[in-house]
Amino acid sequence: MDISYPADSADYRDRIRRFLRDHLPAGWSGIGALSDSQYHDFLPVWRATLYENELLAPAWPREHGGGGLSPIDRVVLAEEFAHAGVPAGTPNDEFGIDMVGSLLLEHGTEDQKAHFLPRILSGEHIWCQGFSEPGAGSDLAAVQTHATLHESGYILNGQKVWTSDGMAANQIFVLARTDTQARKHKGLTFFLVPIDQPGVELRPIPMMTGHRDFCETFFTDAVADPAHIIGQPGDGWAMAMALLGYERGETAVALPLRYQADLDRLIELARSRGKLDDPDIRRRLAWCKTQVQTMRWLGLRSVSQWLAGENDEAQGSIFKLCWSQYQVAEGAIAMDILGEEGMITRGRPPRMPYYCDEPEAPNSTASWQGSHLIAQGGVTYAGTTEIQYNILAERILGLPR
Amino acid sequence: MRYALTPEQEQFGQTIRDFLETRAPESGLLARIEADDRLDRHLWQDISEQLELPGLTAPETFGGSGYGAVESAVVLEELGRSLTPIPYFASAVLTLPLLIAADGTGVTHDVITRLASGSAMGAAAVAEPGRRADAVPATSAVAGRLNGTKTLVMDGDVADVFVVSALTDGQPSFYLVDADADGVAVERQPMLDPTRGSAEIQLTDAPGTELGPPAGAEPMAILGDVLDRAQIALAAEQLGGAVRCLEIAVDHATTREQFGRPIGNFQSLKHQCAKTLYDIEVARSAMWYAAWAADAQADPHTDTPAADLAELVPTVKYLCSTTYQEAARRCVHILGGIGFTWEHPAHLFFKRATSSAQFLGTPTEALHRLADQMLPPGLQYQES
Repeated sequence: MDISYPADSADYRDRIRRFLRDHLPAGWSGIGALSDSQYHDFLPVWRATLYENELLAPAWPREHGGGGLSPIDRVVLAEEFAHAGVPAGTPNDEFGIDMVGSLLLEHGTEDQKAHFLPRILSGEHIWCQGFSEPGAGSDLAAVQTHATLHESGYILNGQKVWTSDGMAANQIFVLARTDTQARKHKGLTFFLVPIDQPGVELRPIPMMTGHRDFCETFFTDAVADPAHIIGQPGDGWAMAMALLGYERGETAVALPLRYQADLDRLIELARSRGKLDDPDIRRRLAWCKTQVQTMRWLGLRSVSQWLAGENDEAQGSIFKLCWSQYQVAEGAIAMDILGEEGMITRGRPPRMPYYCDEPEAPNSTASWQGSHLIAQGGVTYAGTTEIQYNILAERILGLPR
Repeated sequence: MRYALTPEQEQFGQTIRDFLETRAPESGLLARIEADDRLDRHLWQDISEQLELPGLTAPETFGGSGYGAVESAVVLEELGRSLTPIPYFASAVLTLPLLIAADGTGVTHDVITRLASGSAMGAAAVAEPGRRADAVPATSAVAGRLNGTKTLVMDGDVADVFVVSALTDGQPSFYLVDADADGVAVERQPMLDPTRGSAEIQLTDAPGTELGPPAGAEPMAILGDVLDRAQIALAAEQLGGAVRCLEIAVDHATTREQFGRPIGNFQSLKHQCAKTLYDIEVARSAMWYAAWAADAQADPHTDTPAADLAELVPTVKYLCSTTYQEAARRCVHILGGIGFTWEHPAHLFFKRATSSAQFLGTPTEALHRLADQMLPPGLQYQES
């Protein structure tokens, strides 16, 4: 048992710290400290800096413009970025670089790699995900959007929903049914589709937080190039599962650091509202600490397995259950700390409807109200709590389906 | 980085498991308890001679094997799984390390060697009625004669020697006391958990050998460190019990049929089992980290920063105690009526889980101890 980092990873950690010192604005304390206009100015500049320094796609091979980093260096990079409170890219980069990029690298043709990978990196292509539908959420295989082959290409008709960051995107990857005779999980195909065409329309769905980041996407005789299918027609389910499995190993180390920073904010909230002497609040804050520590340890175990080339099927579900349920409890504690003050909305709400608020986000009722609301989404997206428990029960414990 | 047991450590655990399954199977446990004959001395002798477990973490100068907290955790996890009613925790985890740390002059060298070999059993007599184990004792010692009452002396009913905390000239100190010395009255305490013994000890002018601590070491700090490490070992024992509870529950849910299907087909039972699996992985992550960190703290050659046991220990105690309690509760529940019977061993796990959660403070008290570490007390409200 040795949970320390390899000695030679310290050199890379120093390099990344120097890089951050050299490229972040003076006095940088975390992205949450930026005002909205500063944030919108900062993001594209930061992305360009990462691109120029081959840090935008750390996991991609160097031949495709990536950093070609070893797994441990990827982990160290993610940690240092999380400590510094800087993002690893834009919200859409999760779909482009991590998901589509990784899938192309593993399953794409050379022509597809040559066409798409540079455009993902340059930002010419901005991606979003077309999986869920009104009738296919937890039961993703029930997708009804269908594609039929014509002379001009595949013609897509149907509707996707919960398309994250869709309004910022110009490309969408789509799981669609190409064979309606085949059984449910068969007959699906993975398409790469341009949004900028008459047959594709996105509309934002306002969420309870007021965010308008999730969209519904309508395909009305939209056209998809047959050369832009990843895998073969009929391979769609396998492609989708592979893509969902590219959950960044880095998330396992970065997310716990975000929640640790968030707990520090919560403690400061309690202190500033005179609640640190309340035994019940103290006990609950200590409980929060046990959970944030747990996240860190679960993350390190994932890294350890990853470095050893092992794949523990349970880890993804366990990690998701941990942070998502934690944020629900954390939100309730924040509201208890705020009391009646928590009924009034003051200050800046979280900029993104995922996870906790940003590091160094100012403590405000809007921030904690937002986090409390956002927590209700966290236990639903990326596999509901109930689906995760089903996975653990059926796939790991072998209980009968 | 390896956040897992080495193959050698895994093999070590398997060896212990095989030994216990053969020599002390779960099916024989209740019979021993009903016969009020919990301790199998032949088993203890064989564990000592064949597996060399009592001296596992003792330095080689005492005939021990010099292993650390991770190996200790491997042993405790197996013992927790099997509930084998031997005084391993009391003697090897509590008493032996306390004696080694508290005796700065070597006066108890022979006793330590006997404890490490398993030829003698020790118990730690530190808690008193109304005073926890880690509190300054009221028992007094004058000219090597002790007076006072000790309670919750784990496996004190079978111990040959006690390490006793007492005040000497108003200062906390430790004494070695023979169980059969004059003035030592050992009375078994009836316990919720029948798999472990406990005793109350009346000391009336009882003779004891004072242990002068090593230079610069303060007795209550020594005791605190031993108890912290014991908490980590206890967490491993709790984890082993939780794992066994989940196995029992899943086995039952897979085979028991009602309404034309195995009851494990119902989502509610799936989720109870899945939650226990989740809790176990959380608890395992915490316990392994703490065991590794406890050893890393003692190793000056790594440049790993010293672990903050003051935060780690209550965290691990909270997570592992609650995991075991919930695993045992769900196990009894999933078993249905049978889970409530004496005849099925599930209640033994439930009772062990309940008792061990209370030991050295409850899980809630552990959270408060953690809060005191992470939150400076008494901060005043400041206008923001």
